[in-house]
Amino acid sequence: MADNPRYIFEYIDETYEVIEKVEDKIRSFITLRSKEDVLRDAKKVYSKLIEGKAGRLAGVLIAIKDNISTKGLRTTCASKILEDYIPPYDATVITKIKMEDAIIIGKTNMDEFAMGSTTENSAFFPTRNPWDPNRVPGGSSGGSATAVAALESLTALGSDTGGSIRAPAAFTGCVGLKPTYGLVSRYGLIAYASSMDQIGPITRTVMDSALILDIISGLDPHDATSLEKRFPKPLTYYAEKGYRGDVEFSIVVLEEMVGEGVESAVRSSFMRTIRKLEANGINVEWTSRPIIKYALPTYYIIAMAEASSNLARYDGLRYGLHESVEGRSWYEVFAKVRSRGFGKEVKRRILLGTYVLSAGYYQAYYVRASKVRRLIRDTLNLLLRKYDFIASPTMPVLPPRLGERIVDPLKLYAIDINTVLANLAGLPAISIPSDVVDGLPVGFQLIGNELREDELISASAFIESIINLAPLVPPMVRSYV
Amino acid sequence: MENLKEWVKRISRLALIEVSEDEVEPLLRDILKIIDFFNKLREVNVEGIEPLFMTPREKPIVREDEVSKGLSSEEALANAKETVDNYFKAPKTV
Amino acid sequence: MSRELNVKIGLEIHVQITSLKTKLFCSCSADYRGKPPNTNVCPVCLGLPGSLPVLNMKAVKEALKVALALNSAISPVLIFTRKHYFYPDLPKNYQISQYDGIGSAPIAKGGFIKIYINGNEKIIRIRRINIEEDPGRIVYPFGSITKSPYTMIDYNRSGIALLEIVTEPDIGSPKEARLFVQKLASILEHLGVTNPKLEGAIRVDANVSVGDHERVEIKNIGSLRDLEKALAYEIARQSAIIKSGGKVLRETRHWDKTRNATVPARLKEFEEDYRYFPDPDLPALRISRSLIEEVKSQLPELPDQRIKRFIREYGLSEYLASVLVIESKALADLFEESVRVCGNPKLIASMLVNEMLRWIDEADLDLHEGMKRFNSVRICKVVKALNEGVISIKLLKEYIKQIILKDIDPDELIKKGLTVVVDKELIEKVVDEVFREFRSAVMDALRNPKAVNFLVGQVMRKTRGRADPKLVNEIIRRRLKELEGTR
Repeated sequence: MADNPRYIFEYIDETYEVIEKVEDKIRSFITLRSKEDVLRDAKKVYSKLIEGKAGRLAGVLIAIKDNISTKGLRTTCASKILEDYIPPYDATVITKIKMEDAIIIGKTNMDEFAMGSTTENSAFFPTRNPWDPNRVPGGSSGGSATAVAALESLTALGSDTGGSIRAPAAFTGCVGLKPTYGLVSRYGLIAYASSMDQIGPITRTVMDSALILDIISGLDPHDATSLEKRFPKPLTYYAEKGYRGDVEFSIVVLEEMVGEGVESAVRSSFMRTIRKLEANGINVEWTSRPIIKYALPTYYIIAMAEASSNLARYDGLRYGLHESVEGRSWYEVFAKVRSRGFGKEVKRRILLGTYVLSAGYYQAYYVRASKVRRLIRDTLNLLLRKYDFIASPTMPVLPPRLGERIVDPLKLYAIDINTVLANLAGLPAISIPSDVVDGLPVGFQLIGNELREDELISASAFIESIINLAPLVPPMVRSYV
Repeated sequence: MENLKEWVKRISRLALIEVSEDEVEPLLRDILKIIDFFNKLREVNVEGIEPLFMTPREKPIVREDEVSKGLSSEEALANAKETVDNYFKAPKTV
Repeated sequence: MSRELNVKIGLEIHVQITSLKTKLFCSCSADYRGKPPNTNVCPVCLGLPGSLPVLNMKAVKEALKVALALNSAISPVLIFTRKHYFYPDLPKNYQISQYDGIGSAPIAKGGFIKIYINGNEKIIRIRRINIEEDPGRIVYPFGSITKSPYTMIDYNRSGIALLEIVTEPDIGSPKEARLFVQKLASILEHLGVTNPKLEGAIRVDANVSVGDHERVEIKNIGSLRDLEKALAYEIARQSAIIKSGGKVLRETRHWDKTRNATVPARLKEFEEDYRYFPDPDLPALRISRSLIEEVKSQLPELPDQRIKRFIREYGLSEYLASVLVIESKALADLFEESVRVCGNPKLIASMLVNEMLRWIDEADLDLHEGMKRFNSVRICKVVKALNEGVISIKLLKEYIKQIILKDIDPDELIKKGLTVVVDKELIEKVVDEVFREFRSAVMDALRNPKAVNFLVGQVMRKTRGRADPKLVNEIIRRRLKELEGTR
């Protein structure tokens, strides 16, 4: 953009052309900004480009998951209960990207309140996988991933609590990065499970993720859980290092992450990738840690408990779906609003979350799960002292068909087995496209040491370069590009 | 666990989410399966393990006691559907 | 009343940390009183989706001051907990607070306050001290809770820092309860943590049980006077039930001012299950030794210490010292300031406690206004006038009355002539008058020396209290002697 500022307008035109052709088929967006609005923003950025004063994201169109607060722009969490909510403030990450002159193209579809792994739980409509519209794009940041995969947007922001950035990235052939817990401010992220939520980039390349993360990460006085970043150089530097091959690292694979529950097609693909790495001098070892088999129930107990608490505030009085108040008691009004406004999965999780926090069960469930969580975290950290990364297939299956997993909650939860580990332990993790099997993308996951995104990015960049997948463009989009 | 219908009533009251008569059966089926799934954690030996609640940090993030601007009342009330004289209108409390 | 049956009262007191400039978890102003509704809010204290709490460090220091003053054991780690319940004044439908259980820790546990009842010292133990946030305010459009078809909510107060101080059920009577709260208020005021005079700064709920039966919670107690009345009523109510062989229901009741009775609160629709768990948005805070030492070194003089010092340094009685200190820190300050200027501590103490407080009450003034009128300058002028014999003790009382009621300077009163009459000639004349008018009294006085007082009284009346009583006495006795001599 810096070299040819006029391109900014062409690029916007092209993007809206693609959107027009493709959006009906995949439905990435809940709120798509009008071309006029976007062009207006572009004109301002253009002037700054001319003056040489533009930010690092000048001209970049970015799609934002609809659980990140954008001032003046509707933010729904894909829920009826927030269908017309317009935040009066920007999330910290939004302030940061705006400062770098990024342009928000729209708010993307998701599973309601981020609860789900396929974006089928949106209260409005499901998003479809551009690689095969009869299949899910993954979730809960489905719309953000499809927008990037289908070239409707250059980049996107998603959120990840149990895999919600990495799952859709894997299913749509994108790069998805969940930072170390605390590295990116949660201020303005509509909370699901506060001890695990993180915002992160969904992009086409590792370099793009590095740039976005450079911009959105860092200590925020509005978020008491945020951390100071201490990378000696910008993360883009480490991406370049990786592309140059100037890396050395070791990987460990846990049998539990490639064994039971993982489809054979996915396992074979993963093995192929591992062999490629070994052929390029990367040391890969295998081991077993049975405790991680308990990661899934641990995750869901904690996530549902925290969700039941975070969603208590939705009663329609100050914002959101409303029930008329006159003459009615407060519990009647609140119960009606919440029953009408929340979808089935959300209701289920709130009820279960309430249960595991209730008197008499708190110890047996929430406290116990928190203890197992410590065991899992300590196990992973110990492993990561010996090896640089834990590698696994991001998802245990190829993208399922719509309706296939959602019939049975446990079937749905089961596809999170490899992703929840990083959230429980607060560790950074990335999914990079590693293969296309039967026309469907497969993702390769790396989990790194706490606050070592520099290492994670250089290793991922390296792997991206040696895998060297042909430009990943889904068939339905190819004709427009 | 107590009588299941009672359980649904109690939990839905605590969560203030109405569960209609025809919703109860399918909801219970799913919930029971999930609770079973949760109960797997009983297999883990957690003796002597502290729960992983927030651990204290070296440099806590706290605030100085200085006032800064908040929202105007227009902004605060903008998303409310019923207001009266710049108050949020709410139901009776008894 | 509570003689046969043993009464146990525990108090739950919520005090606002009024010394703070901002709220507990956000930077909105703590000065919310009188502001138009919903003008003192932000995403955090409104609980907007995506908002996050950030702790006001000064609130922690103020809480530590209180914990130290109450002799409580301070927790090495401060952990905040979410307390869940739905209510229109609670924007997140949970309150960030603390409790005593796994995954939480009140800022302090244990401790005590000493009160003096019937001349004896009694220890009231503290169970715990929590830091928590205040909810918003519910306004009832038609005045009463029951008549309004809807309510109105103002969140200006939402998020204000509170300390919850819970006592053990050591309090044995309504009077003890009042003394306890007064003492606590005085301690908080001396610490500079809470200004008890601010509306809503101190709120009290009580738990009452009689004769080891069930305990009843009493809420909605608006003032100290209400506290004593509510407790007295409740004890009587429970005693009556027990004596007639009935069972006391464990319940929550409200104090109804208009009916002067406690009434059952609307039956809670749901059992109270707060589902406490540690707030993941607020990492635990380590309370270091050095922080505690820092706060300790900055502790001002506390009421008990000050009372002891007043007794020691100024020779005051326990009673005078206690009233000066506990009535209001400002009063004790006024006392010391005045004594610094013109000495006479016992006199000044008596003037303030026995006279000024009485007239302030009569004039329905608040203490602050009263102290403005009867400030240290005027106090010292009055002391000077007394010591120079310009006024008598009796006149002094009249001076104080006038200064408080009419805001007159003592110099004015002296100018007006409200002074002791020492003019012998004048007094002789008045005595003559009195002797003529009250011949029978004079006869009485000749026989009975005590009856002289009546005559003195009449002279004082005629001189409108201004005659120097010593002189009047002298003259009357001389005259009587003279009379005797002539019989």
